[in-house]
Amino acid sequence: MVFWWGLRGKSAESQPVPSYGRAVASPDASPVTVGSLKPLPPSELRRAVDPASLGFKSTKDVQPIRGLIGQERALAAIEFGTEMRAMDYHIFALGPPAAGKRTALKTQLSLKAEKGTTPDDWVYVYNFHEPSQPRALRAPAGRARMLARAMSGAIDELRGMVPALFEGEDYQARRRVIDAGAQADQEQALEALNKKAAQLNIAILRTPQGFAMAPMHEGKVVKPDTFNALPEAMREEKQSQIAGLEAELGKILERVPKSDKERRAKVSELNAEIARVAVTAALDDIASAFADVPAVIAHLNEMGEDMVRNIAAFLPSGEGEATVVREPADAMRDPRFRRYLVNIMVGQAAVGDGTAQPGVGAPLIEELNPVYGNLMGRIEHVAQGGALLTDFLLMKPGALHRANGGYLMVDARRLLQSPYAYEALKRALKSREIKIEPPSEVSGLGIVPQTLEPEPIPLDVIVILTGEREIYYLLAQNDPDFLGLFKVQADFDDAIARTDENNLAYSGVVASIIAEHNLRHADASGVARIIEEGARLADDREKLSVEIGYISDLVREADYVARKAGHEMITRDDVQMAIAAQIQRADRIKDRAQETVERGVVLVDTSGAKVGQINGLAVMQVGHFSFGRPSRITARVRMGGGRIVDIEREAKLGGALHTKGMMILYGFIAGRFAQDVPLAFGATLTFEQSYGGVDGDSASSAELYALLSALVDAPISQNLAVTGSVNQWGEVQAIGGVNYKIEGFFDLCKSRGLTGEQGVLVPKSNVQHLMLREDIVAAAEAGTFRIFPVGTIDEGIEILTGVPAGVRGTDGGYPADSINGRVETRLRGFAERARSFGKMGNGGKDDDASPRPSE
Amino acid sequence: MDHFDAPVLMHPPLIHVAAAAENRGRVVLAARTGAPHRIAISAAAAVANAFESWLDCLIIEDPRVSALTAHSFAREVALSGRRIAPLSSVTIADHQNAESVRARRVLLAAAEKLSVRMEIKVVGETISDALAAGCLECGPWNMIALAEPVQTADGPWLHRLLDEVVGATGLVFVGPKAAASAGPVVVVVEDIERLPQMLRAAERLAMAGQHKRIVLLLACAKPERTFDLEGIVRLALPESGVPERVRVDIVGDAVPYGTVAETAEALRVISGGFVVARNGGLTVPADGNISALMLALKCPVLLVR
Repeated sequence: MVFWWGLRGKSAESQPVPSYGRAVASPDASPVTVGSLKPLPPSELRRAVDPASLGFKSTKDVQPIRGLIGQERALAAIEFGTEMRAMDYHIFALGPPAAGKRTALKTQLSLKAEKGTTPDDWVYVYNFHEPSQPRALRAPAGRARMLARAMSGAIDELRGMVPALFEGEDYQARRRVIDAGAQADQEQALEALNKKAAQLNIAILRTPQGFAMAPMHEGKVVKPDTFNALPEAMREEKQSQIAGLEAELGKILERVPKSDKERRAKVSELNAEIARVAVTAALDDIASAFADVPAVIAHLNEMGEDMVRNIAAFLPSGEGEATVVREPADAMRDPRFRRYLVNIMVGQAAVGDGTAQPGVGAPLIEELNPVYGNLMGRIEHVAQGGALLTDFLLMKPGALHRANGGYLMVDARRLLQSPYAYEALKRALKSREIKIEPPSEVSGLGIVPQTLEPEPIPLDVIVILTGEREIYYLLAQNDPDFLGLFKVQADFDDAIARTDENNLAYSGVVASIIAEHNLRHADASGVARIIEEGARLADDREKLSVEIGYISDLVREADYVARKAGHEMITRDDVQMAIAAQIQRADRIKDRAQETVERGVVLVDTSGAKVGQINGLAVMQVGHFSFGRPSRITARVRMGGGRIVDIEREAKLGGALHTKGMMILYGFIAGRFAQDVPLAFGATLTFEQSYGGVDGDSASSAELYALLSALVDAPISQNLAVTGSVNQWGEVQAIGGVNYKIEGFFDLCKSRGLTGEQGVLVPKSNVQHLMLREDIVAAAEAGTFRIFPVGTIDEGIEILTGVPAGVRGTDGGYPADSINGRVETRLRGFAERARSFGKMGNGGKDDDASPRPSE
Repeated sequence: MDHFDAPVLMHPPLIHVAAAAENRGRVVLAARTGAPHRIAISAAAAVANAFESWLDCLIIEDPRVSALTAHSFAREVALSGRRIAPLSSVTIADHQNAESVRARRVLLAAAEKLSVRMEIKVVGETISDALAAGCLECGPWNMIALAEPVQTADGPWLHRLLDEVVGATGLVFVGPKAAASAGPVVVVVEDIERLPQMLRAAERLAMAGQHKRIVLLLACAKPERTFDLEGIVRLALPESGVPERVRVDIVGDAVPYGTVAETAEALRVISGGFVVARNGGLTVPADGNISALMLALKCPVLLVR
């Protein structure tokens, strides 16, 4: 937890690093007259809304407003970006969270999208030449689904038609002719050989690896003895006959493969002819329906050829399929048919004739989880036998596919948190095409399973990133591509001006929330209180916060309170109770902090007067809940080398802004009081009992008051607390969280008993921001608590000490009894003592080795 | 030479329905090569299971081939036709032994898979002699089966085989296009005399198989008698004892001219799982011309006398 002592929220935090302009004029040149300062009148402490001024009795009479209010700059930027519709004019909608950017953008963009042109459909199909590179086909809007259905139907049709054709008499008769022809040639030759062998009394026997021939007699192989007993001429003749028959048999057998090859060629030719009949019949209707899409026709032609080549896939292959009635094919599951299917990446809903439904318009897609795959599409895999396999049907579209031709909204923070997603998006926008790649391919890391290289799809989309300002500035500063792509900056204000017109618009937003959540209506008093809370949220009574998310929560919680109370409408009291309940749910830490002060554990005085001691005010933020907390600041002075020791900084508990405030404080002292004498004093400043970090400069005026008090021994009233930063000329400057800070001190004083002497000094320039609680306004009306607007240090010190600050006279000096006069005298005294001490050998050097602020 | 004469018992002995407790009547399967056909073995096993019998497998080693090697000019023409090499007795013995071992391995694996009791032995006889001797061992109620697909030219030989193996009541064989099929059992009915016997065989095959369906394909060489035959068959069916859970369909108009070719085409269209037909009829005609059947047939045939 960090104490915040400076501007917070909309001002310092969310602004880019400011550039420095000219210096302001010296207040010393025209000193402020002090002594006439009065506390602010109660009317200046809070700007209430008169329910009667709203002009309606309840939100029933108010037209709900779903879009944005008072964000003309951002709306104009969005209008510009959408009208430009160029691939380097994407939009970054920057602004505070919960400002309703998303809802407003969707409302605005949906109007644009409705009037836009419905983009074409996109499908991926099998690439018959290079299966690993699926082809992307564009089809007129609404026709992709028709194509997919038609292809599925064609497969079913072929599964029925092809077996019928191939089992038909026509095919079978022709097939028999081919088979019988080839078989007959061979059989006739063998038969002839067999007959010839039989006539010669030679048997052809089957051996394990071929055939053998032997002389036969009465069905039995002639034994060698018998054979050898034959005359030699007869033996030689028989052997010669056998050799001749063997040669003939060899030739016949040699012809078998060739004959079979010829038979297969004829069968293939016949199959192709029959298959072409079936394929043409199945695809003709599709070709007619897509005659106007040449890419589809080209694909159908390739597919037809492939089907003819692989017509066996449509024939029953297993025992289970040899049934009379064939089940419809689940082509998605059957690997034989998957290549003929269509993977719809973008498919508009179609009416009966296949055209897109009228009035669909351009797509408006919001990707809530912009991880790489959801954005760019993904290639899924299935595990098969331990390997990860994929095909073109396992490609899934991403948000870019769905938004192509329209608009894509993405939360910038989530996008940046998703590995590879932002880079992939930029690559797509720059190349103007969507290319699906597995993340492992993109990263170049990890094991890449079998994957695809699908043909990229042309991209025409306007991307709208939404996010906080910090993200925009971070990307603008660090990403060289960012500003080149996201040229449209739609900057949403944190708050809008609190005008009558915007009050009414705010009422419209409340009415919209009520309608959206089906809540009870709010009467004018309830709406007025919500508007007041809007101003308080803005930390500025002249502004209204656009944190619609919070306002929505408040309205819903007020509805709950009203329901519990049995109110028909949400009233001012319901809203007030809802706010109180919100605070009660969140203020445990605030209560503990205040308790430590009340019990004297943390020392903070709210009465009496003390030298070098003042009540500063800090803001603590716990989650969404903020509260003010008083803290004691003390200063001690001594003779030294002009060094002001910031104990927080030395202890490394101070932030950069706090250190800066301390250096400014030094500049003021040196500039005002050390024109002709050296600063020969040393001082230490600290926030007592602060053990955490301290940052911000809103306590610099309080620190200066404490230092002045210590220098002149003038006690500071402990009834008062102080906030405000100071510049080198002594002007008190605006700070943030003024309302919380005042309320923090008020709560402490109230717990100890309001005396009428207590109050808070705030910068004059913060008066416009005052939107205090009603109980504080009541206390001011009763004169028990006061708010002093302070323009300069002189004004403040006079209120705090009751001693005039003093104005430099014509002689160049301040009145001797004034604060300034006494400071000057004290510093001169330090200088003189240092000089005399230096003569004694020390040289007036500070005994502290810490660097001076100027170092 | 080790001829593996010892019988191999795959299962406990089964009771033969025709003559309980008598060790006779079984399917005698003849394997002539080292690569008996899967469908042919399945068909033989189906018949054995249908009749609650077992398979008696004979691995045939043709003695004529061994005798041939005694001649000095004995040569072997390779199946490719590209090599004619001298053939020695040692070589042929080695080859035959290797073939027997391979056939035995295939048969045993099939028996395990088909859950059929099987006995295997290697015999050095011609196939007809071996089958005849095998059938004689166990009485007259045997079926013989061929483990290799028959070819178109084998038609006359099928008749001769049935003539020579007198102890067999039928022959189970497959054609060159044999493939697994789960179709009905098709009975080619050409006369009423054999119908009860064929129907009984078909019923047993249907009950043992996946399809509890029988198709009676009426095929008369004299087509004008088909109508009468259908009437007689329809009258005879209720008395046939075929249980109700087996559906029986009659196809009466598929063989309008009573030809062998029509019968073969009808069998192809019906796509049966088993065909039961008579020897010498329109399925396997007396002239042995089975070319039409071989072109059309994919399932096994049980040819009855």
